[in-house]
Amino acid sequence: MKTRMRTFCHLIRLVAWRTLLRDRMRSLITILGVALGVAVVLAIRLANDGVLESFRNSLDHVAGKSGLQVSAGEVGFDENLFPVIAGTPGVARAVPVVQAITPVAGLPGEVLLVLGVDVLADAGIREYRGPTPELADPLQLLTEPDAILLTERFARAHDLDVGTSIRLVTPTGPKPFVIRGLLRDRGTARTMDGQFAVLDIAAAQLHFGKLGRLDRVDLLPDEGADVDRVAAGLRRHLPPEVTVERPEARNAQVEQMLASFQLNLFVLSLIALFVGMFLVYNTMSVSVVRQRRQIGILRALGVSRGQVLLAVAAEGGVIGLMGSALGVALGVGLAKATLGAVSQTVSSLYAFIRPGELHLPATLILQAIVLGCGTAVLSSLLPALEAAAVTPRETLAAASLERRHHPWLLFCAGLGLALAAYGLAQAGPVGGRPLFGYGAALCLLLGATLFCPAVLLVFQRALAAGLAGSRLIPGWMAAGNLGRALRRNAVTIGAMVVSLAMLVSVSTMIQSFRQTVEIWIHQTIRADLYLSRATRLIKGADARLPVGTLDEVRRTPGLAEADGFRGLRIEDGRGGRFLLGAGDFDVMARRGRLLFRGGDSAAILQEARAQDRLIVSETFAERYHVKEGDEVTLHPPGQTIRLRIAGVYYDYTTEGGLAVMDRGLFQRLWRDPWLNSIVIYLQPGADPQAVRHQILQRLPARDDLVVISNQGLKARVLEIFDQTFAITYALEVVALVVAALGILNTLIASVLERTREIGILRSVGITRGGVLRTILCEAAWSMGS
Amino acid sequence: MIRLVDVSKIYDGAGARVAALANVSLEVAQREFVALMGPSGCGKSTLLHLVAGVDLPTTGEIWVDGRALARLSDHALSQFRRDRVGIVYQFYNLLPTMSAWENVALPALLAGVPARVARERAEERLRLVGMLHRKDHWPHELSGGEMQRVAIGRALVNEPPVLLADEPTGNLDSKAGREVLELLARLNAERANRRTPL
Repeated sequence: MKTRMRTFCHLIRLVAWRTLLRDRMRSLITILGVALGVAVVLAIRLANDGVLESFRNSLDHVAGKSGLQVSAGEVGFDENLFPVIAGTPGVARAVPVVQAITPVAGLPGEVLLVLGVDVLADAGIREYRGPTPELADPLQLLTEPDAILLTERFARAHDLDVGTSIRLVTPTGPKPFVIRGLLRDRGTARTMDGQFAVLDIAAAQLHFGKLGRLDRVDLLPDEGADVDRVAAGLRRHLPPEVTVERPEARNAQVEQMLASFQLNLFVLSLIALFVGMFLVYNTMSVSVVRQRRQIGILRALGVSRGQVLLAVAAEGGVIGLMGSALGVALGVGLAKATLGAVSQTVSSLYAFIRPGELHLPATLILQAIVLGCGTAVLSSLLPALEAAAVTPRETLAAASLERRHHPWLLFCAGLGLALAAYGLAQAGPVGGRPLFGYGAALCLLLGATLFCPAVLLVFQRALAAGLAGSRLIPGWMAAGNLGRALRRNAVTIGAMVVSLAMLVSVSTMIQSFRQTVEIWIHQTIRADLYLSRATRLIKGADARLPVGTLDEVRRTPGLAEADGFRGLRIEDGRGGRFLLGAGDFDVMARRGRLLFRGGDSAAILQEARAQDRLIVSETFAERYHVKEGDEVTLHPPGQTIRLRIAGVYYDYTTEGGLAVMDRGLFQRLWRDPWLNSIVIYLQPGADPQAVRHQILQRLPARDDLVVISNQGLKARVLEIFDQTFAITYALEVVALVVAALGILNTLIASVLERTREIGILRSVGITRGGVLRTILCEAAWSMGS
Repeated sequence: MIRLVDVSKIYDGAGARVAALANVSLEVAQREFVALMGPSGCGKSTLLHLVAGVDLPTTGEIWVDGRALARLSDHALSQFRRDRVGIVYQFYNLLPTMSAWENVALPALLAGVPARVARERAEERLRLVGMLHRKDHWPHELSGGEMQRVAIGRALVNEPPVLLADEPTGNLDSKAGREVLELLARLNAERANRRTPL
């Protein structure tokens, strides 16, 4: 065993390594291709993990030691339920919480997660430690409603200190708070990477417009108590809209919510590595063809087939190892940029996050290296098998020749794969994930690459016949060269086919989707102006407008009509969320033009208003398997109701789906006075800019309000759309770069193999330009086929 | 030492069967120095390749150093080529990615000889063929005669019982060719008790 290992090491050192060194340029190109593939996969993995880690940390830090949490979604619940919760058997300690994500005035882009807690009771659940002695006197927070605790990290980053003030933008207006203490960077203070603040609960209720309401109660069950039994007891005593769950259940919800998004990114990131496999295969094939005679010599000297196979696979492994090492370094750099882009998309679509620093665990580095090496070794297997098939007799071979292959047999195999792809595409998703779809895409891509040799053969023959005897000598010669290394050229073209196919299909899909969104926004965004808070685009942030804003807006000259919209994120009881909306169906019927799956928009809305019905988005209908006429169960405070669906309409604003009712019905059921946005229709001839200016003047204290024009809103929607898919395009471009490296690799191989032939051509009078034109023609024919 | 019984080798060419060897029988004893002579295409190289285990006969039996080659597995045949025969080709067949001493040491390394010992052995063989002063040179830096001397050194490194040379002077000028033949004869004379060059 030891001897075999030693022999194998000698083969690696003297054969595989030396071959890589001899073909430095091609080796470097291949290593770079593998590195790019590994880098993209690692970067996406790091960004995905970073986002999840950020969620988990924030949820874990905020949850502290609590074993159970009582909550009721965005709307919260009546604080009178607190004694019921605290008095439930098995509950050792109950701590009420009001929570808000809120922007910091004067610090653009900065957001704080503010926790309103009972400072005397909360220490039992969460740990607060600070460098400032003021923390020792929590009464200061109780006696001063504008007192706030910040994290030391946030304060240091913004030159803030104890005694200075900070302005937070609350739903009741921007409010100054005096910093009364700083929290050391540990435990709860690490929530949202230090973007965290603490208020007294009464002050939080006052400032955040939540008087009499709680967002959550964190519970510490009795020692030894059965947590599930305690939860069941709580559920029996609480109204149906209130949920009781373990804090880790929320982690699972977040992971489920992000799973599809992250899986798609990960699969897309694999494309570059997949294209990289072609590159390695190509390099190794060329290497085997060029070394056929040397392999024959080795076989004549006593190297066995197995040793040859291992040596060639090891050559691929060395490429993989070096590519992976470089890929890890590139990937970490790329991940920093990717994390920003992924976080931005996640914050826009799912929930607000503030990613912390990137962590690069050793296991992930190891996984990346194993992935890169495994891919390279796998890609080397066919060439390795071909090398192992070389007989010692081939020491007599006068020239290195490609082994025969069967393009039409491969074509038939490609047809088989295309049929398999069709079959897989008919299968449904598995656990909501299109696993068979990915399989179909893979079969289709592999099938397309198997078509390449036959297509190239037909193309090359036609080209050679067409150009034979013509004055386009470089083109004629290039056509001949193309046919001499048919399989290798087919592999290069296959790699290009894969990356181009992915780029075209993903671009087509995105463009088609964008076109749909464009049509949709032009149909549905019909008001002249839209008013909301700047935080509306941050998922999870408090975006409520102050009570009375709609009345104030309606008094602005030049207005024809204004309508408010309220949106509440509702837990669906299955680990997901949807948005419950409320608007004036009368205004929407007269002014708007929602695109319904069937029926007249105005008639559906009037019917829904008159008969207390819902309209739901197509996403909602598909997600919860409901249709027109079905009933939806909702849990407004203290009751359970069933509302019939009047219509299903197209909407692309939410991922989880949207159910909308008339505001009159909503206020009857939820008794919620808040609005999130206002749509404004102007009188004919009114100047939108002038009205916008007047509205902002009427609401002077609200410097976080945004009034955006019809065109501005449409542009913003498309901007978010493009931003969401920017990373997808970036991944495709990387795959295309890897494929381009493949072409370069093939051309270099072609030139290296024909050095002698090129010399002969030069000696018979072909100019440098002529040689260059021949090689360029060869590249053009390859791509043309 | 070497025994061929009714050995034939037929190649399937493009639409035609070519008999390179037909019913050849031959015996070579230990310490014999045998030269095969004949016109081009008469099957000299084919015969050597069959004896070296590089190729297998279509019919007949070949025994070398007590082994029936047709009964050896591919792995055993590889070991046979590595340990029991040394081959010198007309076109040298040195590996271009290795220096002179590495080329010579390779069969020893493949046989599991420790690197230090293999290097010492390679240098000793290079000294024997008069090429020690060029041990660190690459094949492309050597002349035809020098490459062939290195190839002979390589063929001797594992001290095989049989040394085969396929037109070792065919690619050399007359002076270099004479030197190589003298070298082979000297090796046979000096080391006659240890191996049987053919």
